[in-house]
Amino acid sequence: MADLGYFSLALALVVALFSLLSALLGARGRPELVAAARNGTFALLGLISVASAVLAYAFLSHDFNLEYVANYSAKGMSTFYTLAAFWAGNEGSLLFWSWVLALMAAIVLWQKPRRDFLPYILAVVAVNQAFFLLLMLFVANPFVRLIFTPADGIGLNPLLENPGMLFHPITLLAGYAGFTIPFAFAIAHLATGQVGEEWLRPARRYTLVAWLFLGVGNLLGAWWAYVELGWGGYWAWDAVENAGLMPWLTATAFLHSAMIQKRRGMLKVWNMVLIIITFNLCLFGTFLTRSGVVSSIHTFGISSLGRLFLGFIFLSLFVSVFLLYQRLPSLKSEDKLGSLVSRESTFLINNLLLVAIAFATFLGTIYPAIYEAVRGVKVTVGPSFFNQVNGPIFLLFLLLMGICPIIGWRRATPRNLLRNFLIPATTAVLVLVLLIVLRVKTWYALIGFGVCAFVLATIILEWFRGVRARHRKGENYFAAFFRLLWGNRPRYGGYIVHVGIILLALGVIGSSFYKVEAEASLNPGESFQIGKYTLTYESMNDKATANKEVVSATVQVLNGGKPAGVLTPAQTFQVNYQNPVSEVAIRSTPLEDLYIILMGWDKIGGVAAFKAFVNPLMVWMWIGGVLFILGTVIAIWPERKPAHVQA
Amino acid sequence: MTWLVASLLFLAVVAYMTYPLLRPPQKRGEEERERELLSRKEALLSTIKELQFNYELGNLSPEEHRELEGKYEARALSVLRELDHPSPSREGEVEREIAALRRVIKERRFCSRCGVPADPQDSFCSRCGASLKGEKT
Repeated sequence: MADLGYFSLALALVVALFSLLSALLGARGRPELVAAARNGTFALLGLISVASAVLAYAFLSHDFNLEYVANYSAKGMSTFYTLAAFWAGNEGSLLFWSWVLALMAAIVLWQKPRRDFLPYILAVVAVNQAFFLLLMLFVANPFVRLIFTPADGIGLNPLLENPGMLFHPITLLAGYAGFTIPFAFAIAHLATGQVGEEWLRPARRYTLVAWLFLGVGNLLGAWWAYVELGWGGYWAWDAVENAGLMPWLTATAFLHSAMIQKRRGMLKVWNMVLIIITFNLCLFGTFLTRSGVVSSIHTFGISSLGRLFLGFIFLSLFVSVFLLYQRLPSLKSEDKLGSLVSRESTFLINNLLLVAIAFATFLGTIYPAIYEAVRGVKVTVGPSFFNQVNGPIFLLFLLLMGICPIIGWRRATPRNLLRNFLIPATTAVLVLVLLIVLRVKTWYALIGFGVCAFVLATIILEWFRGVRARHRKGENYFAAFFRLLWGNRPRYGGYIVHVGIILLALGVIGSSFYKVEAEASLNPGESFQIGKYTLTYESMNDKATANKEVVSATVQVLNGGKPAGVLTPAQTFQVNYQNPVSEVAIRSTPLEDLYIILMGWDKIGGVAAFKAFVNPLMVWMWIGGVLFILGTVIAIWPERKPAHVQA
Repeated sequence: MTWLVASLLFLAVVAYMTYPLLRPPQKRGEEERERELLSRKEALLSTIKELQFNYELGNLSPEEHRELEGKYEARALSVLRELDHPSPSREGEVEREIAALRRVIKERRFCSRCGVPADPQDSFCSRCGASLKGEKT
């Protein structure tokens, strides 16, 4: 059975190479060759699906003769985690990447892109597929057999046994793979030498899809770290986290500057550059993750994959920069920047800020590797570097996020400024005064909250004005609200995403500046204080199942003297792994999270050690994440096509 | 068994990929041209709508709105004109749509007091409330 998987991959490589050749030859007026390459791309989806199904079946049927299955699954695991083990290692992740790319390419073909773009889109997809298939066939083969069949597998790392495991890797990988499609459209635009903006619509659309996946992947990663890793935080500027953040930032920049190109015919080269950078950052992220060049909590085992990825990045950069250089004359701007106080310039500044955050993150991430190569000494760049550099840029970025959508195009008139900015600025000042009255003293946080209030007020005001305009035409407020949203989905979906980002920022500011931490070793019946909470350790419980043992502590919580429930932080011992895994206990309210970790215990005396955090406003971060997803889905939602086009 | 499935897979893929090579090449279809034009039309009309909305919200000055709208309307009309020569089977349908769009563009009225565009069925200006009776269409 496993041989069928390997055979499918080998055949897929032949098909990919054939499609590449056929697409490039077909680009010179041989439509039948392009059609063959197109069928080849569909065939790739079929073949890679067969290989994936074979691997999934091997996991479900516990075929431990396959090294990959034996390394990442075991008999006692639930079906859920047995399937999730598919992408627990390099081999399966590559296979999944390749499958997502094949699926997205098939969707693109099904949507019938422009005929002159088609050969180049097919060629870009085929090159990528050929690269991944080569890796799977010769470097990281998921179908390698062992010389004997072990009775049981090693199983999944217990840290990975979290619902996040099912979705975090696949959403990230889908995001990475998805950015190949807008890149393919950009290359097609450059290769055909088109003057128009035909590539921009599909590129924006597929960027949004990949951007959504990548964003969700990062959020799930943060959530997973928060509930599973037990250090009280969610983001540590780890190299692999950065790898997922950087392309998301540059793609965000693209989504916004694409609007300027669409409306004003400006920033054409810049948009190309952003797409090229985004795609290569995705490859770079994988290079970082798989090469072991930079130390990270996401260790996947050092392999030669890294070097091959680096080679592929150079190839793709070389080709895209060459094409871009060739086409520079046709990418001239149709218009000039009118004034510094205009929507175009705020868009551009916001773009630069996003790229600046990405660049600072990039430098901080690779600095240790470069330093080690030059000096031979290991150094680390800690979170404080990233926070100090990116924090202020991010605040400025938030502020502009509020200004951008309400400032006039070309040149903002004083009337426009007064009309649109008076209410939000007043709101921000009122919020600041209220916070100062409430004795919020950290000025950094004050600025942050003020900016958040300003941006929220601008969005609510814009929305209100839109609803009022419709209401005046005879719609009731309720209908006006939804018709406004549905009538211009990209705009209002965008606003919902902005609200999501503001809530996320609230969570970040709250938990960064007002985090409270306490530790204590207690005998049963003793208690300790954190903030206004009193935590009383009551008893220790021990529960053992076939392949794991769970030790949990019962902790009574008093909030300002009033009972607020029982929390049970725990540690789990997996049979196959030595180190226990923390099961954090969290009590969430809109104001703050109480977060308790069971650090250790003394088996004889009954003493237990606890660590607790109070993380203000954390819930808003996850609510912001949900709004980010909702808004993006609304913005992507396809426009209804005229009926006769489908006929 | 595995090798039987593998051979079948191989034959299917080869047949599927070589099939287009054996068929006579097709001409670039009229249908595709029309599809492209229609999608450009949709894009232009949604931009015009967006401009109108931005103007109503006060994000565009009247002069700017008129200038940009004129620019996009000219483009939209040129697309519509290209669509004027469709294949015979689609002619009636496209004609009707062009007529409808022209009506929309033609029937746009403006308030004589503040210059805000108004819908054909409006009796009063949506911004300043002036009566629109007797306004030229």
